[in-house]
Amino acid sequence: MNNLIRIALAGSISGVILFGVEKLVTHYLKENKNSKTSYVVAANLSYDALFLGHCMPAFTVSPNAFDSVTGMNSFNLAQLEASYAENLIMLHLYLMNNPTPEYLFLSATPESFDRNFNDFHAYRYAQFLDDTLVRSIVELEDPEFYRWSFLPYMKFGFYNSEISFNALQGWKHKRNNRSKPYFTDGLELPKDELGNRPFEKLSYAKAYQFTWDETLAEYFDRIVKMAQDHGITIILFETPLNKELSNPDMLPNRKEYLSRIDSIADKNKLRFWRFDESELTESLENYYSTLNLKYPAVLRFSKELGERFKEEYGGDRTKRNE
Amino acid sequence: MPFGNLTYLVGLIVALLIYSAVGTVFRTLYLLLLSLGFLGYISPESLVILLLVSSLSYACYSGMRGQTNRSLWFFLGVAINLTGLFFFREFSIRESWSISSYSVEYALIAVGISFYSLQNLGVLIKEKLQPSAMTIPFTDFMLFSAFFPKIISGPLLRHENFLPQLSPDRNIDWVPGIQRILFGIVKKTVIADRLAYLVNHNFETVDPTGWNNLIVAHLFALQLYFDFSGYTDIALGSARLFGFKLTENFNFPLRATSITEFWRRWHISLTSWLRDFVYTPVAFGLRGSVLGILLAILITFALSGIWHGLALTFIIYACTHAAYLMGEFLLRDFRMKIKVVVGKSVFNLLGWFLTVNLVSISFLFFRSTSCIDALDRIGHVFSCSNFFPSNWKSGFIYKIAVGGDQQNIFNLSITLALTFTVLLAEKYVYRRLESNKIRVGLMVLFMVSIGLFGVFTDLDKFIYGQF
Amino acid sequence: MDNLTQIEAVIRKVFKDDSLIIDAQTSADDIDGWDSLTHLQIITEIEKHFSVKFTLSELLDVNTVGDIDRIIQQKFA
Repeated sequence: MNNLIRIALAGSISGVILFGVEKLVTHYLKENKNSKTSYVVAANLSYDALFLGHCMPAFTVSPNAFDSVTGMNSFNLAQLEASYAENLIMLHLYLMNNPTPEYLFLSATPESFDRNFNDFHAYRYAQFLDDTLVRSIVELEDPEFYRWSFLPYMKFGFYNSEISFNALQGWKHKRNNRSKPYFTDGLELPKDELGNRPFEKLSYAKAYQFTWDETLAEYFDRIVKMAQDHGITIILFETPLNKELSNPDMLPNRKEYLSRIDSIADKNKLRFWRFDESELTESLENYYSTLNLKYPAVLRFSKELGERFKEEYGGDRTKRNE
Repeated sequence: MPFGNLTYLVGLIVALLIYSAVGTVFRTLYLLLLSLGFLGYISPESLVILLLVSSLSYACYSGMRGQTNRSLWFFLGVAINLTGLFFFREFSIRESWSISSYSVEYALIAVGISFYSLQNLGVLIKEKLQPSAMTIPFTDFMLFSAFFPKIISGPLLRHENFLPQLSPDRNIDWVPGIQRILFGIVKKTVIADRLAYLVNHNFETVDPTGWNNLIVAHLFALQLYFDFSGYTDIALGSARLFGFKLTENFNFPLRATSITEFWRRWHISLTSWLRDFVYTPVAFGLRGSVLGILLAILITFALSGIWHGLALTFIIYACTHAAYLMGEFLLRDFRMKIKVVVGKSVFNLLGWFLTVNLVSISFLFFRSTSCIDALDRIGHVFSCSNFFPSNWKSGFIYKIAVGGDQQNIFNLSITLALTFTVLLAEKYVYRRLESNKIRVGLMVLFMVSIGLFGVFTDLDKFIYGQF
Repeated sequence: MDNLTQIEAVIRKVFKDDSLIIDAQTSADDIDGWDSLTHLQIITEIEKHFSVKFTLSELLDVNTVGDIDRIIQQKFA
């Protein structure tokens, strides 16, 4: 019997320690300014426009460059490999904690409706599992993680290699009273850890067939509905892809997918901007991969986007100067 | 199998509770049914194959117990087990090294056959050489074959150790059992799988510097040790719960000071089986000349290579060790002289350094997907030019850490710190666990480190890395 | 000279070490360098010295020096 008591004691002490660490980590994760989730929840932000999507917009839209043309104040909420499920959570967290923006630029491309090009990263939202909407999406998208998340600390421990460092960084940010994220306007320049990355042509297997994912389309609808309910103007857009991707030999059903997005846009009365004709697509010099632009080209594209915005929505929108 | 261990643990506790309620007379039968159920749950086909191979082996064993045609029954039994081993194991498709595991790879077709067929052979050979006075009962024989803690990856049991433990009055020894299981889970989730992430990424391409290849080889040696010995702790701990002390498989092999010693400490149950049933008879038959001993070493290791899988990489891996052992054997006098000159402690230190490097380098064959890759890596290790990376940060640390972000470096540091802590504290921990009292402090340390640092999923699941 | 002393002499010769002390309880674990490779050498040398032949089954029974002694005595009995 004595041993049973000892084992219960060991279990309880471990539980209490892990629970304590969980509280600390929750606190410091929320202090981490480099986490886009924590950033949008903590600061009272008042942006006019948001960009939302997966890595294509995260790598390609510079809000600063866009603002320099439009005179707006915008932020890029897109995250690496983030699916529409993640985008929905991001928009939800933003709208809950900040004044409603006027415009939402939502990335829509054949890749974003195909699970092979995006994923769900439960650890990005682990500190917000108390929120019902976050909880329900996490449960659907990462059931294995969700199943264990009730154990003390397991919602962080499950993906601890993505959490521990960020919590420590949050502690450092708190100590240094840091207020701005590393990516000031949300543009995430591609990581270039191993020296200069040469252009990588093999981004796609030859003749890749996209697979439409219905659940992603549902999340997309929910994003649109959420934004419209808040009276936000939505603009769908696709970042400029390299010319060779328009070649039907490479992506046989790309055209079909684009027309599906067109019909979704029509149904919701949204504009869908594409940049296939942009000068940028002509030269490989502008790309470091078939999907992603190099930094100077990113700035050019963001200004092009701004010009398009001015053209269609008119006027000099310098109502706010910050 | 994320967190599969928790499901396993719960099942284990339930099985144990029933076990303690079952009358002592029926315990063997209960364990047999439990083991067959466990195997059937993992893979029904494997259950059928086990029942077939082991009952036929038992039939041959019974045949040998009769006085006529002993040799015929013996050879029939050997043929059945070797056929089973080759047919359901060696010729089955092998998975690639995508995930960490040593065991999952074996678990694909006819789970456990590489272990129970050798066990059966052991019984038959022993019966052939030294007929025993006692006949093994059928249920005992089948339990010996199918015992669930060891079914997936051993340890390889010897009936002379296992069967006497089936006496009805053995105790349920749950305290050391549960402590050992928990330590095994720490080794697997906190060390081996964290290392697996680094190893898998670094084995994708061959690095151009010798230093990196050497370090990666060491990381894999550590991963393999912690993976396999962690598994073994779970297996031995589970058996211990039911009162069985199975053969130890590891005795701190990474502390060996010679290759000979390494093989006395690494995968002991297999090595000692091969020593007794392959090496000794062959060397005995060829005794009288040094050449005979060398040939026996070569045959033994070649067979061990084939046992690991019919791949050239495994066979070269095994032959490398045969060559190491032959070298050590032939240089024995020379080594003794050095030992006298430099003193025992310096000699052991040098021996250890040489041993861990030679062992790790040989594992490059074990881990590489092709011999060309392995030879390429080894070529870099032994090339004088380009041994060290020209830029330590980007050429070494960032590569080993699988990225140059602060987070990558942080995770690498945690992994290495944990690995070396456990490596150094291991001996002390085992001593403490071997007690009849739950060690509250250690248990808390284990559970908290699993919670804080464990790996529960395959982190490397994106098909499209740069996206 | 009894068998045990003679066995000691043989083992000292194999290990080239005259300081080894052997008794009936001595096993491979007690002597540095006594592994399965040298084991066979020792058995071979003992066979030569005593002019006997071991069988494989006898060899498998050898765990200590005492076992070797016993087997030799059986052969001369």
